[in-house]
Amino acid sequence: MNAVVSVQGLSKQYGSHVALNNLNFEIPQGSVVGIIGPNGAGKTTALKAMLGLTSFSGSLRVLGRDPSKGRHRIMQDVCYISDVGVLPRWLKVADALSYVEGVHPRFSRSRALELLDGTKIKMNSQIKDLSKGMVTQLHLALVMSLDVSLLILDEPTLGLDIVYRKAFYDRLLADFVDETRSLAISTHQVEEIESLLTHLVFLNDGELVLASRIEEMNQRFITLQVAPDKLEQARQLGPIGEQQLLGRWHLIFDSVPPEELTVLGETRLTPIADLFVALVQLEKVND
Amino acid sequence: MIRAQMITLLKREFWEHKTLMLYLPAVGSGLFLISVVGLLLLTNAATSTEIIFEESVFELGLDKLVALDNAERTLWLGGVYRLSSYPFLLMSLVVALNYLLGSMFNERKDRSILFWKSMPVSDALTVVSKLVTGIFVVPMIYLIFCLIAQLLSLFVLTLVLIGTDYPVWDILWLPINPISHTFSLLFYQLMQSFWSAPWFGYALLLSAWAKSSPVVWFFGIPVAVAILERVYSPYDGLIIFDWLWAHSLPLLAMSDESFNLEWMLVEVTGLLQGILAGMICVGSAVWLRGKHNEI
Repeated sequence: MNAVVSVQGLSKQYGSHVALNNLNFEIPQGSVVGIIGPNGAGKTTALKAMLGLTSFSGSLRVLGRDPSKGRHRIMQDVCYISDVGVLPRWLKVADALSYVEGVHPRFSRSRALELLDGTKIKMNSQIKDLSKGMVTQLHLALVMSLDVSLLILDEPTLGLDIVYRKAFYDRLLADFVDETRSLAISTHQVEEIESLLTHLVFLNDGELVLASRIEEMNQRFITLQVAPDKLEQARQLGPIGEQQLLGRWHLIFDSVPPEELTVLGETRLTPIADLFVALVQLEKVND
Repeated sequence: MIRAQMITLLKREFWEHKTLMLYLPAVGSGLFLISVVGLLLLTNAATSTEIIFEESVFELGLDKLVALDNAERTLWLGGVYRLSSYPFLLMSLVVALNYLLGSMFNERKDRSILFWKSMPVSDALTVVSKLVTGIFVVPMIYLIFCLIAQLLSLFVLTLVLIGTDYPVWDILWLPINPISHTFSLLFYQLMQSFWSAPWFGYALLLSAWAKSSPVVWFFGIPVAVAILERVYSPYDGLIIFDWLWAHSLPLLAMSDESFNLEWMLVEVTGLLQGILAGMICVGSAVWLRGKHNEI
């Protein structure tokens, strides 16, 4: 599978603060990649580097191009929704459509109107008159009406209520994701996008913790629910993380054969959030 | 595609600055017309105590106008007509500078730069669209509103005089010559844009660079230049500051006779210097917009 984004040795420093340290990963064509990490992990910086919005060192290719040169050419095939509403407050909805139509060769006005048809957004409204959820709906409608190869979303549903968040991801799944187009999402609300993802990239303190396909991750990391009487036996197998929930212990194992685990208790897929916490804690212990 | 993008970018500037580019000059035109009509009513009502037959001041003025020869009428009435353009021309200069100072600062401040930059528009084209808006679109809009207000005033005066014995064509339209006046103002606005190029470019550069209040920088840097020159320059007088000062003056400060094509030829060095300085500032602004992120 071709890589839409190829990152090699990506680093970025703000003064003495290292925002990204020697990252290496790829975003394959047709993939949905979750870029997961706490605040300050470097998610936004990495995404901005891909979009040519910040300088960096190392090698970064987006659709075969260097984003630090000719950003506007890359943006014909890439679109971006940032972590906060960035549509200008003075802009009218109708003018927003006209603007994108005028500057983007791959914009479909009829598609945008179709997408906005099911919303409460009026054409003559100004952005400042719309609720935060409606602004996100409008931005998503504009972006969905672009025939682009890569969509980058940086905390796109931050501050939205659960109804808007669900509608946002439903629309994304229904209208954007296919075998040719790729999606990179950074979000705190990992649970909401877990079912969408084909790949994930864990970042912490600017370091790459894990870059993996979801299938590989599910094969490699297994969670074992174990009763207290078998806990010590399970611990002998070297879990990378553990937590107690409702009287049962949940232990996460890395590359332990499933047959060794099933005799000790019930196994299941490891939730992304749990895996991330386990890997970060493991790194801290190793440091 | 670039042409279509440029048109859209210019429209975008208009949408954002409708107050400066539509409502303000429209209000200016309205006030101009109200002033003309008010003046007409006042002068018609007022009578001169020196005149036995109690002729109105308006009629008195018309009588004097009729008594002048053609050349005098052109000089006097044409001058008044030209003078009445000055508020619009000055307003256009101030509005253009104000617009340019905020043009790239505001998009960083409200973070909408992230939306604009998510579109396939180059930084160079964006900056050029803002420059074109500042140096051509704004001056032309104010010029159009000025000409409309003046023409409407002329029509009002004509309507008042129709049916009287006064020769409307000879005492009004001929000396004013609205067509020649239009070309004269058009030439003035274009020359003003070129003459003020270093200031327009400087405003655009500050807008791309300043992390806070570009207006303070706009005034602060020239003052700092003047102080530094005064303290450290081995020459008498202020060379850089004086050059900047000369380019900051509205050309309408010059008399009608001295401001013409001949002036342009004499001042060609100053004009070219200004345009070059402006271009350097614009180039730097393009580079900065490519490098800068939101504030």
